[in-house]
Amino acid sequence: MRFLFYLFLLISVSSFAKEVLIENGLKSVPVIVGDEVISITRNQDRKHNIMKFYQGTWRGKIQPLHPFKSPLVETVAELEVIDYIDQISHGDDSILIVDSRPQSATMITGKIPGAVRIDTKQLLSLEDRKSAFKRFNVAWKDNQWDFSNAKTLVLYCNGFWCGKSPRMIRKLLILDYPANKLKYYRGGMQAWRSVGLTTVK
Amino acid sequence: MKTLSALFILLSLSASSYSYAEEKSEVSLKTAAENSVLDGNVVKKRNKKMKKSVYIKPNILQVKVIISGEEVVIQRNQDRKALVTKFYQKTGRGIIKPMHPFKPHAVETIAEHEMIDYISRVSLPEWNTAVVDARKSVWLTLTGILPGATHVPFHKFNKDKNYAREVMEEEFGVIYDANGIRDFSSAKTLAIYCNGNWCRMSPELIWGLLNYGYPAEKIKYYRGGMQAWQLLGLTTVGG
Repeated sequence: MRFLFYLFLLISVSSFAKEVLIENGLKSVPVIVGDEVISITRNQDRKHNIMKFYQGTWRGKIQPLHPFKSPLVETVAELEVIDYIDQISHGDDSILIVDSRPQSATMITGKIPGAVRIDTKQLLSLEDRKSAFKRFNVAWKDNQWDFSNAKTLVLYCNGFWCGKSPRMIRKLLILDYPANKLKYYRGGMQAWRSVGLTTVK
Repeated sequence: MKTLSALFILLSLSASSYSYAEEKSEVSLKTAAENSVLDGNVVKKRNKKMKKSVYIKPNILQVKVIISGEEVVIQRNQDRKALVTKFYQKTGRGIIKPMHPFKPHAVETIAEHEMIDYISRVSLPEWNTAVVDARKSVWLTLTGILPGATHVPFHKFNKDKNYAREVMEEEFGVIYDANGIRDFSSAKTLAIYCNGNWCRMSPELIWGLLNYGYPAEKIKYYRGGMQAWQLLGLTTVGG
């Protein structure tokens, strides 16, 4: 019994001292956001819990893995999103990470580093849509949208149960945004935080 | 800054009224409304919100499945105050897995809706399907198991050839001939899960299966695993 206790103690001490890695051998990814250098890491505290807001189990309705059957929009996960952020900070401006939640939500839970907040409301009226599409590098030409230089958008919201980013993707597809330039990060802020990754205000 | 602080005050206010609702039963809330301590409309709104059902998909509240002759109802926890188990609140575990860890093998990554479909197919022989829990036994006693899942610990499967053969023959429908050559033509479709997107156990089991020649298109990887399942308050068995 005592032996077991010591063994348990040893294991727990050694596991607390171990680093929390993103991938094998990868502890942090430094990225440039604006003029700042932010390093994306996981929370190194092994006793750290996800914030209360994301502990609740009742919210929303479960989203399918591929909510947009045809045309197919790719569903991505944490590592792919980190990869996109890395590409952006290396000067690739053909990619944009879009947080499609209202400001009240991003204020509570933060954003993924490098994300811009644009929600579905900003696509409803033509005036708002023009300013939003300008950020997506979509031009208004001959009374129609020109998507030839459109950015690849990585959209996320609160998580598996959140309908905000699927709604926005549906809206963009209706507006003829090319499906291969849309990526859906289904895990969203909940999955991002559930592995303790860095967020910004 | 002012708006921020105002928001926080608002938030804390709503949080405090929420905890009030937690303590008091419905009856006492009604009396509170009658005594006009609280605005009646606020109480009504809150009661309505508390009573609103928690759905799997639009209009689908529960899915009934047959597990070894017994009916099991898969649904989300209807309690709008429920939190995920302490265990899955932790953020510092494992290493994050990519969306498709088995490229270029055609192992499909699935999510909750598909998993519920596979669970409902376990008892239907024409679908030839099994749901597999790849974790070590300790985790099963801690967190339970998905309804209808078969327990195949990954370390045992990958180390012990006899155990692997026994599992593949008896559980997965793989046929061995006299020379020990495997025939996968009637092998089951496997929906495999472990603890979640940071967990290596089901990927290891899937690599093990692929090494034995199990057809990749018959293997499904539920990446969200038990953590996503419980974060959505879905039904588990045991634990």
